[in-house]
Amino acid sequence: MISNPSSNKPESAVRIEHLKKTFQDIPVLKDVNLDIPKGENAVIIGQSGIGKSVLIKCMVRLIQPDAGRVQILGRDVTNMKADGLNAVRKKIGFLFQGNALYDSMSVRENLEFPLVRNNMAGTKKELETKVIRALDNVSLRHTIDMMPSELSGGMKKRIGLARTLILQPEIILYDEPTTGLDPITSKEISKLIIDLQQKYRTTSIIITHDISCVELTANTIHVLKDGVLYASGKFEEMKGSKDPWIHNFFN
Amino acid sequence: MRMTIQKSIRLGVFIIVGIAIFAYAIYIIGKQRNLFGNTFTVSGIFKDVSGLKVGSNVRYSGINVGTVSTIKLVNDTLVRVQATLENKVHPFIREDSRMEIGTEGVMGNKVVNITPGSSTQPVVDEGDVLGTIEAVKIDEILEQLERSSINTTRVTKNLAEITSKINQGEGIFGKLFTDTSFTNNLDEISRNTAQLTRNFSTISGNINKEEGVIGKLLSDTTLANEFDQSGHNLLESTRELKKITEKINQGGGLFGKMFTDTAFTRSLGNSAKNLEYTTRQAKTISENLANITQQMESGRGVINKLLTDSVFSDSLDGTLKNINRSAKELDQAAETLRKNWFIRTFSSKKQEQEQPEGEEAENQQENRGPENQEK
Amino acid sequence: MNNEGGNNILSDVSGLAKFTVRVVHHLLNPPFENREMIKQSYNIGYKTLPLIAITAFILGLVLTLQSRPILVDFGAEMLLPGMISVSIVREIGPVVTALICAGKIGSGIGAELGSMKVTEQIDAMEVSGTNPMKFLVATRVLATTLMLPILVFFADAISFIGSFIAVNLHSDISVQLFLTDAFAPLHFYDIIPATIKSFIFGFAIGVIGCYKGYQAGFGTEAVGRAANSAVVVASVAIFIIDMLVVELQHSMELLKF
Ligand SMILES: Nc1ncnc2c1ncn2[C@@H]1O[C@H](COP(=O)(O)OP(=O)(O)OP(=O)(O)O)[C@@H](O)[C@H]1O
Ligand SMILES: [Mg+2]
Repeated sequence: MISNPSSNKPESAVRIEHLKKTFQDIPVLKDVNLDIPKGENAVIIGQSGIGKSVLIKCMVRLIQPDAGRVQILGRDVTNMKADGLNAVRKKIGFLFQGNALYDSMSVRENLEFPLVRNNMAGTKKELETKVIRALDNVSLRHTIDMMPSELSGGMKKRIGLARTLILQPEIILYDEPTTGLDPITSKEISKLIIDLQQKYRTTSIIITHDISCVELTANTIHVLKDGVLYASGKFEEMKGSKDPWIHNFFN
Repeated sequence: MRMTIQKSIRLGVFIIVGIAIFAYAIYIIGKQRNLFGNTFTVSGIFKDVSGLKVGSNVRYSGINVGTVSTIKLVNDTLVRVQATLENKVHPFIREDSRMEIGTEGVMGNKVVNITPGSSTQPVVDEGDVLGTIEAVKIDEILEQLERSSINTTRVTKNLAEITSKINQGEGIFGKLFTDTSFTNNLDEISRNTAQLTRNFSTISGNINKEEGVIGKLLSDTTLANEFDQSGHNLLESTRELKKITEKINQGGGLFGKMFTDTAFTRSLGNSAKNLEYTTRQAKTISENLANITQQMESGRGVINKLLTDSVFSDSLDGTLKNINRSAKELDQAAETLRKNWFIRTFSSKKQEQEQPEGEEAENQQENRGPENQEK
Repeated sequence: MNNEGGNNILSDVSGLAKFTVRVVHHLLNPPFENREMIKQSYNIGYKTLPLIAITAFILGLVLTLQSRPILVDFGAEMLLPGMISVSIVREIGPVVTALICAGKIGSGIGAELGSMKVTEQIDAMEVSGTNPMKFLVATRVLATTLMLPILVFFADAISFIGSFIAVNLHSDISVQLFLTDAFAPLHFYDIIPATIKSFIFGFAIGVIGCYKGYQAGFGTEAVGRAANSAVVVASVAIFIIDMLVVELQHSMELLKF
């Protein structure tokens, strides 16, 4: 499982070595090692509160790990300065567990924000086009001038997704993309993830408890347990696993 | 929330109005304190600025025309006060204008008053030093006043006693009723004495006020001494008169004397006349002195005047000498009176020692009696 | 910065101090978020004006009515405008405006940043290539710092209007005379320190509001707590700053005169 750093494969999208994170004397991540190749859909599963969100936040340095290294697209971001970090972050989309839509901004402004902040807005017309295209992706064009507070939970989730995708990132981190959605929408989102993978060779890291989503999207499944990567494998391998915990999870 | 043009305009107006309010306040205060526009400075040297502060108002004819810009100690006794004034009053500040520290309102913010100069004098230049009028020290005046008033009350009390005694003694009444000229004399004398006392206190007040200037600027100690001396003399005479009065009060055997001794009465009349004359003279002199003082006050550029105009200082000198002389004369009169009384005493001393004193006292009492009654 | 431990006053103070240093660093070093700053200035300055106006008007009115009897007793009624103007310009205008702003703006910022923190909006900004310390905090702190003095100018001016009306209830005085009387005792050393003080108040309100918001832990409850303690801490800070500035001002006056 633990790969030798010297044999670092060039197509590695995310590579994590010996990652440690402790919150107020409670170790959340003890020693996590993870390698996700480019173009792969990796699903991370684990019990609630085990540290899945912490793990993917460490990938974009929203949380500074106590120890260990994080490499994104071959670049070590663990101690990177703000400028380099922003360049790396530009290539990463992050769908937050709670959507994290900006309450004070309309849907349009929410979608414009990443573009504007990363100087990718272009002309006014281009900006408008990009926003509408992103909204069309999640079939919510009509909400363009609404405020987040006027949207339903599912709509918020989809707008959040649209905002995550608008920069056309190379790596997308989904923190529970389908939670709280009806099965149909849920399936649509899973399809969207696969679509992106096929069209743009996007790498996706998906945290989810939704078995159907796992089944649809996962190339590899990683199980996080007790602060370490407990197991990894394909969906079928997991499903047929003898391990009681994994068995419980999938059945 | 998007920042529309409308909102930007509102914000702009909000900020501009806010800053305009501030600017207005700064402008108004600055105008009051003359920080804008053209100004010029003049200064004056004081012994005591009585709590004047930088920023205190400066007035000319009661109008605020500027502020005090610096207050600096020049040496251990002198303070230099610099005032910044609006240019528009420049033509009115003459070289003989003077600075004086005054009080604004009852609560006592200190202000600098600049007195108008004479129109014949040239206008001051930037940075000129004006003459100053030292602030009158109120406590000193009060002390002086108190001293005089104590004297006065004592005299008055004596007079009251005398009057009652007179009321009892009939012999003297005859005298008083028939001899109106004598009564008038007494009257006159008493009034003059009172006047003298009053004048004296004014003078000493004025002397006090001016002493600093004169002493400092002329360093003429003789003059100052003379002032002092004359004051002392006057005080001395008053005291002597008082002593006599007191003695008279004590005198018990006087009545007999009065009935029998017409010579005494006559001599009393004489002394009284003498005293009256002296008093009058003293009064004139003190009036003169008061005049001079007033002239000083009304600002004839005392410094220049005293330094350059020797005639004036001579005449001042003369006046002072006169005062001295008159005081001496007053003294002499008192002395004569006493001697007169002493003669009396000696002639009757063999019988009674206190009697003569009493006699003299009675003379005085009589002098004052009418005044007291009049009042 | 993810620590929630704000229960201890000392750790609160040291945390606030560190936060302030970071804020100052971001205020001084480009890039600057000018658009956001203008937007926040609009929210903080313009939108607070009505509240400030009403309060200041009533304050000027009431202060005058309440001060009048004692001056009448002294026969010094003509000093009323001057007395009111000095107390308003020196003390009441800045402090009351700051307290109101601590209530409205401080709690607003605390709640806004608190909820942004709790719902990961701040994290979202950060991954969108935006430094939230610059975009959210520095802009708000700068806006409060710059807007508060302007609000104070308005408060002073409007309370003068209130005072003028109150004076006119009992006597008849022209606007001109009122202004002359009101400005007569005012010096630069009344206005300048009061203005400097207002800037500091604004800065404190902004920094404390942001700090408390940033400190918010998890859950909606944390948002309420952030807003609440932003108001409390900012209000106390205003009084402490006021005391220090007045003390400093007096010692400087002594040195100068
Ligand atoms: N910023 C933080 N400060 C302190 N503790 C934190 C912080 N973020 C996470 N934790 C703690 O780390 C642990 C893991 O949290 P995390 O959000 O990663 O769980 P999770 O695996 O995503 O759970 P869920 O599936 O419910 O989202 C939790 O106990 C949480 O309290
Ligand atoms: Mg999570």
